[in-house]
Amino acid sequence: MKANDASIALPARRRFLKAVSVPALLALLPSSALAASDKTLITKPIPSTGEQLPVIGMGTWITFNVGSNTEARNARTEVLKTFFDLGGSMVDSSPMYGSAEEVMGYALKRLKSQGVATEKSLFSTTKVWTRADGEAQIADSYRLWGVDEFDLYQIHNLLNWQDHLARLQQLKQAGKIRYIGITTSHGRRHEDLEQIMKTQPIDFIQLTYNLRHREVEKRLLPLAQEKGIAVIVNRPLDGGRLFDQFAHKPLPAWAGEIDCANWAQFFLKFVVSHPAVTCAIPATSQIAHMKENMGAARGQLPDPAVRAKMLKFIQNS
Amino acid sequence: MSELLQFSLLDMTPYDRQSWFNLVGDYNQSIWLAYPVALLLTLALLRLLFLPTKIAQPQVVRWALALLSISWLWVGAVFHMQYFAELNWAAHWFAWAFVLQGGLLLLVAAFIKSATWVSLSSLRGRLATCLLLIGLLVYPLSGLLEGRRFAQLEWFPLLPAPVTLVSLALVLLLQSQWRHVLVVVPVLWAVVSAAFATTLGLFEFYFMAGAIVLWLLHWVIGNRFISGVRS
Repeated sequence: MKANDASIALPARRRFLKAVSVPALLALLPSSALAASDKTLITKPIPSTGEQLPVIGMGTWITFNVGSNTEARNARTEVLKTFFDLGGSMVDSSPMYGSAEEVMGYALKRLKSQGVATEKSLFSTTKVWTRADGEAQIADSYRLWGVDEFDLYQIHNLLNWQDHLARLQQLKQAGKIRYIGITTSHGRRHEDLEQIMKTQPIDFIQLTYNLRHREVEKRLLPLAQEKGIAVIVNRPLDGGRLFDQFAHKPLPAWAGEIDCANWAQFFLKFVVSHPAVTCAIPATSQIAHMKENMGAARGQLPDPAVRAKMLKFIQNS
Repeated sequence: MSELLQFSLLDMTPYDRQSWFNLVGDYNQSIWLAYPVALLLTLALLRLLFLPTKIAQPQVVRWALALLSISWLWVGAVFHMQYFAELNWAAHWFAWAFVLQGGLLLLVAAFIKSATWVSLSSLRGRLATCLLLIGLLVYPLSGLLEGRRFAQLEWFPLLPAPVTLVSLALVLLLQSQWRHVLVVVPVLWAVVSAAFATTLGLFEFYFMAGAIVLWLLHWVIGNRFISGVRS
């Protein structure tokens, strides 16, 4: 943990900044107030603590893996700035995503140099992903992001999860991590994940859920609700395939009733309106798309009847 | 290696085509000093293949394989290990495969005794010449149709796809049992490369798929392709 040794005192200040951050203040409002105004950011609580998170986060898979190219790095920095400007908080990455963690560190440093208080907005999330011990990779992630504490550390795709879970628990006790999670994607290893959810003390799970892939509605999402585990949804837009199918079609007229101005908001609001889902993490390299995505974190969320209507519309199209 | 096999193709392509183009462009820019040497190596290879020399043909083959080994070693140790690894966590495995092929080519070049080229006027010789031309010129320039800048084009002997195409051409020309060993890594890389190209929507897929089909055809049809051995 070489990257952290010099800054043991910082987490307390960081916790204070988080305590006065927008999502935290929103948590003090009654939930009816959150739904009443289309200016209001929609947040949901992390079950294990009650801390509020905006329902739209940001993934970095592919989009932030731009290597050393300065022009591309600066463009991603602007995407991140837009995300924060619009109230975004959770940023998710992994050592598996090539240079994404390094680019995230670059973007955070650049935004700080421009006077952006990233520590007030950022809910930093990364993963450990190795068959080996994990210590070196975890140290690398702190260094690459340039942070002293991660809000959430997850075990990527259940890889060597027993060993990593023990290490993450130690880091949590040491105040280097606030939450622990475990991830899967593309519908893989759901039975293993279910067992872990039943037996291990985890705060978050991450899985794939979207209008085309809803297997997790049967067991994993109800189980997460029952066990009080927060749910992050990856691939909420099915890797862009939902746009391939629907982008050329008009939105249904009733989409305006749930404050959807475009397909991205339609797809994302379906995902984050599931009662078990805490947030979704769509990835984009475009500022315009980020604005569309973040629009899904405002206004009305569909109720169960409207969700059924959305699903029927998609299935019949 | 078992770790590698549990991932899907999508897992192994954590970048988009623009990032790939940028990587190639940045790589080309940072190694620009290597380009004159690369050009000399290419010309030397062509000289060995197409112009008569006083050297006996087994010696010519050995020199050509030795030159080709440099390209595999360079791409493995420099491109994959130091540049592509930025974008792709699997690049270290690819690097080792390229270094292995480079080493194999060197070993064969050192110990092969009676190898010759098939006649350039035979069907196999003509196909190999076409493949060589594709690897050296057509494939690199096709990048312009994909929206790449000139600096982002992939040239032999410094990037994996043209090195693979040129290698398949040389192995197709080679009249020796060793060609069955020397073709394994290039064909495997052509498959991997075609798969990456599919996910990124690159023309590379068609070049690699075509090269694999060509090799399989030659393998299935065998000696009927050969109409003569150069002496």
